[in-house]
Amino acid sequence: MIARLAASAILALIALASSSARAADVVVLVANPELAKLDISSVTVRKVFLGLPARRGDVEVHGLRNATDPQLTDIFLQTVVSMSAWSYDRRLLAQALQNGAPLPVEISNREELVRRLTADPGALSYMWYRDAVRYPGIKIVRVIWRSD
Amino acid sequence: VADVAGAADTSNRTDAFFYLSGKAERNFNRTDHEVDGSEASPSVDALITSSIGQFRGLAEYLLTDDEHDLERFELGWAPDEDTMVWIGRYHRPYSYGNTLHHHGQYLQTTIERPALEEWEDDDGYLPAHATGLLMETHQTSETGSGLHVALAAGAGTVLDENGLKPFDVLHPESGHDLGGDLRVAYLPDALGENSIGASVSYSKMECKSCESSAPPLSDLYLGTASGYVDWRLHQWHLLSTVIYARGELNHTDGSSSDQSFWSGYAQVEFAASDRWTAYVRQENRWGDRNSEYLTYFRDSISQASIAGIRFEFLRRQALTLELSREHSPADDFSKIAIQWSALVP
Repeated sequence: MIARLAASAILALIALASSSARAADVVVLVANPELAKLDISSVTVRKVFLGLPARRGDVEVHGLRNATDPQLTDIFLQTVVSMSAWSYDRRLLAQALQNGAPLPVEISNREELVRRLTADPGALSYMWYRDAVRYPGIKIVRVIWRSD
Repeated sequence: VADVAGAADTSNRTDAFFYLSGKAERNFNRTDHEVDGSEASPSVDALITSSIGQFRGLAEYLLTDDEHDLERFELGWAPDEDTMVWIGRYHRPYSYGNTLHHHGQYLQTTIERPALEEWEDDDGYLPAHATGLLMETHQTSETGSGLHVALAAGAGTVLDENGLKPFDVLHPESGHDLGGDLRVAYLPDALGENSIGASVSYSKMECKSCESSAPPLSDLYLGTASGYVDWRLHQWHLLSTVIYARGELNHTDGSSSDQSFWSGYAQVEFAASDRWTAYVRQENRWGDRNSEYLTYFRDSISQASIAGIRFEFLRRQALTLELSREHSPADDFSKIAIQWSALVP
């Protein structure tokens, strides 16, 4: 009886751990609450992170690159801009060279990222779902990647 | 206060880029089979961009061992997200290659630029800079393709015995007449890099001490029509331009002549990886013999076959080795060049 209970407990723990892992492996697009009220198409998202100007209503949209986790950067490159890190770097530099386009701001501190997302009505970024839900001052726009 | 500061941090931005390069080259004269000269040339190209709300600024200053010039100085305003209006000194948009690249080397795969896109002070025979107004607009269709239009008008170049002289913002001189450009490009993906396009341009130029001609030139009108393709497919990249130029040359005795020439190149690159790229380029110019205009550009390249390999290393650094066989009205030579280029930061 004790052995059966122990086995059940171990199975329940494994299931719980597996479920938490699935919940953790989700990347979401996040924005300032003002911007999140507006329609943000995937074309706009790509445009913003390619350093091209984008506006929604009176709001100028700014892309903030989340550099807090290398895995997150890989997912961003793969799903949002569909480029290698090298190609993306060259593309941004070429845009700056040709028309002075500002490079998207890169932020390696999560608290700073959240501060800017909260302060700037046009700020747009991405982060792990598990992190996004911890900050009430920002809004989740949609899921952009999940591990399964 | 923190909130306002945070918003300002994000929307107002100034970036500075320093493009560094060093090149060593050796020429072999094919006529007398002797080494024609060796050259080592360092350069620093500083690019500063600034964005404040709907306004944008851009300045590019080039410093080399034999020149220092303010190459571009532009102030821009974006009335909407797809349109930019610039005032200042810009690269003339009829030449696609001149808007794609600049005076720094790192973002340019090859060491040598195609002769038809060469800058005025590097034996360029077509106007590359102007000072005035430039408007660029991008339109995206429902299918995701894009149309890019660039329209420009400004003070262009003058011609003298040493070639073309663009209007210099820091040393303005009289005699720079109007130049106008229109370029239309189609992009299958409005946010992508592949494009195909066509352009026309018009330049009126005063001729100063143009006494190579008999009788000397007083002024000329140069019109161009061109087409280009910039296409990437998997690891391959094709960049090609063909341009038709027609000039009306007026002499001091009141006579005039109407002449034309063609010029073009095709460059194919193969990226074996993000680090290694091999490339070849073929350039040709047709109509030299009948062109009085081209006699003012005796050192400009009329034919070239180029092959090279580029290796990227560390952060934003590259080594390039290039072999070429080049022909100009004055010379016929082979060249080997090696270049280090970098971008800081």
